[in-house]
Amino acid sequence: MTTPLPKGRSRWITNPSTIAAPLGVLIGVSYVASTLSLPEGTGRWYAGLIVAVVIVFNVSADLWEQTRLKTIRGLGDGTIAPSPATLEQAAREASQAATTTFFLALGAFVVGSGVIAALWYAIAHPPLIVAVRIGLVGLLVGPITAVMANLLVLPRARRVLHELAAAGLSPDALARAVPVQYALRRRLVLYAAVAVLTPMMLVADASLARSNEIFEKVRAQPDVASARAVMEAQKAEGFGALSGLGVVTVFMVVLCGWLSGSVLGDPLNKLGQETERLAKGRYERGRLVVAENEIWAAATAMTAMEAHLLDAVGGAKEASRGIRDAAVELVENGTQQEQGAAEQSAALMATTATTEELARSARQISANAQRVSEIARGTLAAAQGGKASAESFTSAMGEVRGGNQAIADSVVKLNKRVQQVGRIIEFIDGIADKSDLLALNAELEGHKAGDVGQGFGLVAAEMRRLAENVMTSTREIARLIEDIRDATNAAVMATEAGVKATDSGAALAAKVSNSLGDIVEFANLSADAMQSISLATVQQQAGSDQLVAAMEDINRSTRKNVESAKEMASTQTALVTLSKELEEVVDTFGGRS
Amino acid sequence: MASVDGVVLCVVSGARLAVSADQVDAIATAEGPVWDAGVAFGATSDPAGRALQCLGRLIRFDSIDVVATVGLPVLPVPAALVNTAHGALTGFVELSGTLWPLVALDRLLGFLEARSR
Repeated sequence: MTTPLPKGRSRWITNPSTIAAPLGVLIGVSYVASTLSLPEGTGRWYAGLIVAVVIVFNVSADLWEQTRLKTIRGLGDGTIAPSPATLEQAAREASQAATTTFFLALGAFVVGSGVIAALWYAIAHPPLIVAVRIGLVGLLVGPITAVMANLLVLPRARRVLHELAAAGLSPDALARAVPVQYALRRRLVLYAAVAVLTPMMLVADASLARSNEIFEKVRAQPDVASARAVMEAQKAEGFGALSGLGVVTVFMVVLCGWLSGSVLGDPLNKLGQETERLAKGRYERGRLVVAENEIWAAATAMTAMEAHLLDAVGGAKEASRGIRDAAVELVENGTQQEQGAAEQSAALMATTATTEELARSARQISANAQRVSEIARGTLAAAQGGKASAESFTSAMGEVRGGNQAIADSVVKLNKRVQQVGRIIEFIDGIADKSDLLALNAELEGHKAGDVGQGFGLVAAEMRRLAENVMTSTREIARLIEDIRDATNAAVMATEAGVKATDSGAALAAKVSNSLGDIVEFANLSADAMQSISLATVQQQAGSDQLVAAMEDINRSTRKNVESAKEMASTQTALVTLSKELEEVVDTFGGRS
Repeated sequence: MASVDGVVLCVVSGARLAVSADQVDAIATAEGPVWDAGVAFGATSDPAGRALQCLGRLIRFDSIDVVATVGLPVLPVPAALVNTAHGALTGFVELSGTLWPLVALDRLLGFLEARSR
């Protein structure tokens, strides 16, 4: 954000010289009036020449000054575009304005008084000594007037320089435009000399001139009384002009002192404020205290130092942010590492416990393998015994099968005989049934025949009872035969079942025998395998014990790692805190960059 | 009172029937075409039973017995039962304290034939 240079700044800078010049003229006129007696009829020419010369020289000096400030005027009027080059040129003009005013004022008074004296001498023909004294008035009044103009222009020139900086002039360009001149001592000597010597010479010259005038008047008196009267009259007469000159001189001296003090004190005061700001860490880029000579050198050096400090603080800020970010990341990584180490420790603890359990299991397995090996050997012996028993059982089952088969054959034969008997009985029953039927018919016929057939009927009835008895017997026999057939069928079935059972038993016995043979073989293999397993488990037990010892070592190392990770996390947290504190400290120097 | 000499006692489906021996041609096995006397009682007679031959036809009963009696009194049929079984019931005879209905075998055949239609 830039602010354009206000309009009319070239004239505003040089206005004080227009004020200082009449004051110098007033002092000169008062000096002439109090020290010189102008010849009769020349005063009018003298006054007219003063007015004319003052106007001509004032206008000429003003024109001269304005030509020296044309860039400032153009920037204010807008006829010159603000650019680094034009702004730098304007700064150069502003920095030289006070010096220009000083020399213009000094030259105008010296030359102007000389011109007035020469013209006045040529026109009015005053005494030469009077004209020469008037010509030398400029040497007495010019320096103090020039110093006063210089001191009045300097603050305004500084103000314009500040405005040029606000318009975009960089401090580096300003430093280039306003070269450092180590002339403070010389300038202070000049101020002191002008402020002291000018009034002293004015007052001394005025007093000497007044004394000569009184002395001449007293010497011209004929007697002492009249001379004393003249002296008394001159006391009251000359006091007014001398006192006026003294007052004006004192005013100018005081003014010069005040202005020189301000010119030197203001930048020093500002430098003090800037130094205090820097001491508080409120750095700000582009701040500049405009001054001259050694103070200007100190101000530019302070500005450069502040710029360097801001760069350094910026770098420190970036570095502290980087340190903080790195520390935060380090803390996160440390936390993850700590968690990972803790998880690893827990996993190792679990693995250690598992390994110990594995070792115990290995010892248990070894012991069990030993027992199983013994059992396998017992199993082998038992299986061998079982195989022999199964073979004996198979043989016995064969014998039982043979007996059952014989029984079955006998029962089948018996059943066949019983069936033959049954058929005979059925035949007899059929005969008896037919006999019964015949007897019934015979009896019926006997009854039909009446008395003749009674005997026949009785015989028939007897035959019928016999037939019925036979039939009853045959039915009893048939029932018995049926029972026998059922029994023999059951016996056949039982014997067949027995045969089948013995066959199954024999088959099973054979299978058992084969299985026992396999068992014997497997038991033999198992015994060998268990022996190998037993040996392997003994070796495994030894390996598990070594593994347990190794896991305990790893566990101890992991616990140390966890403790290291915790310590690292604590250190990293402290590092984060320190980085934050560093950032806060650096931020206190941040200000505006 | 009427009497009868010689009766054939028949049992079919638990029912008792008495037939005069004069009406029976012969006693035969129940083989071939026979009339089932059990039909008269809503039942079926034993296929292994015996049959009475009358007028060339056979009537099958569960069991048949011949009783030699002389002058066995025949009790009259009540008027309400005269037309029973096409008038086959001709009276009652008492044997050993048991009352047996006496039927005419030819009428019983007619009844069985009518029932079979």
